[in-house]
Amino acid sequence: MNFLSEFGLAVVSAAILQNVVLTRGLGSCKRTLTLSAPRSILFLGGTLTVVTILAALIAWPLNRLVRTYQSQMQLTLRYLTSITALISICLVFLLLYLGTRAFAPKVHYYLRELMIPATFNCAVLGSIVIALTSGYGVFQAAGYALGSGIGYTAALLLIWEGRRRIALTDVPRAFRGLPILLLYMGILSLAIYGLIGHQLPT
Amino acid sequence: MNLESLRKHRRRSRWVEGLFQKNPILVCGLALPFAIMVTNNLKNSVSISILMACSLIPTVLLASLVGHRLPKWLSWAVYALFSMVLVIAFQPLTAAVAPEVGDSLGIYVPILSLNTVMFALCGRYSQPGHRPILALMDSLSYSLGFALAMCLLAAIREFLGNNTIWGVAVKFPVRFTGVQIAFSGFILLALLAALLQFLRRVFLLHLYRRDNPGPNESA
Repeated sequence: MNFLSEFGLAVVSAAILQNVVLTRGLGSCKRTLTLSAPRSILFLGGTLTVVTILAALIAWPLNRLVRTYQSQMQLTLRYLTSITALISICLVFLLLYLGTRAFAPKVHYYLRELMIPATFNCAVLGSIVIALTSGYGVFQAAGYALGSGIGYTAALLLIWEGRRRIALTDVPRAFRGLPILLLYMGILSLAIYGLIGHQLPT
Repeated sequence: MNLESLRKHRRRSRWVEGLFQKNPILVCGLALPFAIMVTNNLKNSVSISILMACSLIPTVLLASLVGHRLPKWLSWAVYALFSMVLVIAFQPLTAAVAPEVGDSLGIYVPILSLNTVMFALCGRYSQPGHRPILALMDSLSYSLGFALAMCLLAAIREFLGNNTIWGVAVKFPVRFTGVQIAFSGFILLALLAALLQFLRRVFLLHLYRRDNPGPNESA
């Protein structure tokens, strides 16, 4: 029961209070923010969520192992957590890409274009590094990864809806495109800030 | 309609397009997390810009030299890992800017290895037929453009939010502490992007009107 509540708390915290896009700006680039269809957003978000969870599940024991080895050998190498997280992400990408190509060609056909932006995305690496450095257990880390993926997808859907409505209005010429999108994201970010009431640590 | 000046300008600016014409942050909307979260102060921005240049230029060169020989599924992992090695190797350089910067940058140092500027340029130059010199020039100009936008944003945010520039106090009657928070990063970035879009349009219009005077002006 305790595990479940910790898992649930990690999911809610990562999805809403620590939303990767709106509180930390992670994973926001023009290409992903301007995806034109909710179907593509859901595919991207779904792939990103799966990759984040799998990578977190691989990175957690790997990080533990490396940390133990580091304390035994008295090494003082910084960013070891980030290295293990990135190696896990690369492993998950290779497994998913080659696995779907060999065993599920139809799935591979749909996902092959989205798999690269969904995997090599700073939201994935950032979420895993935050989960690992916050001292979460394996369940909490998986919950945090799941929440990050859900939060990322929800933020992209919110931005898509905002863009759709903005397209119907008369925006000044200088603000068309990226500037108005960033203004809209700023207002969403302000709403989240109002909810948590403080700035998150980097 | 005489478009010679416009074409000449476009040809000339191709070599430095990353600076203004296709500024990675203000025009292309790449590497936004850094522009939003790291621009709290000038020291952070300069440090991250140095790290960006140190990782971007060799990675894009690597992509232009061996990218077309690697299978697509392997190349992205190779670029990301190579970039991470470079970021970690050059990270001590930030201590030269300010010793406290390493801690205040937090997760934004390792995520430099997955920045979208690098993936955009690597994707472009891993195709066969691209010259490495162009890859070098583009990575240089994009790094400079990134640094320019970051420093501009950071100077404004630090001045308005802390009334300091590079940690040195500047006399100013009002202090807007909210400018230091993430949402202000989005809003300030939007305003700067709009300003650049406006200035670009005015400049191109000026070039066009100089070569194509209206009937009243030519008379």
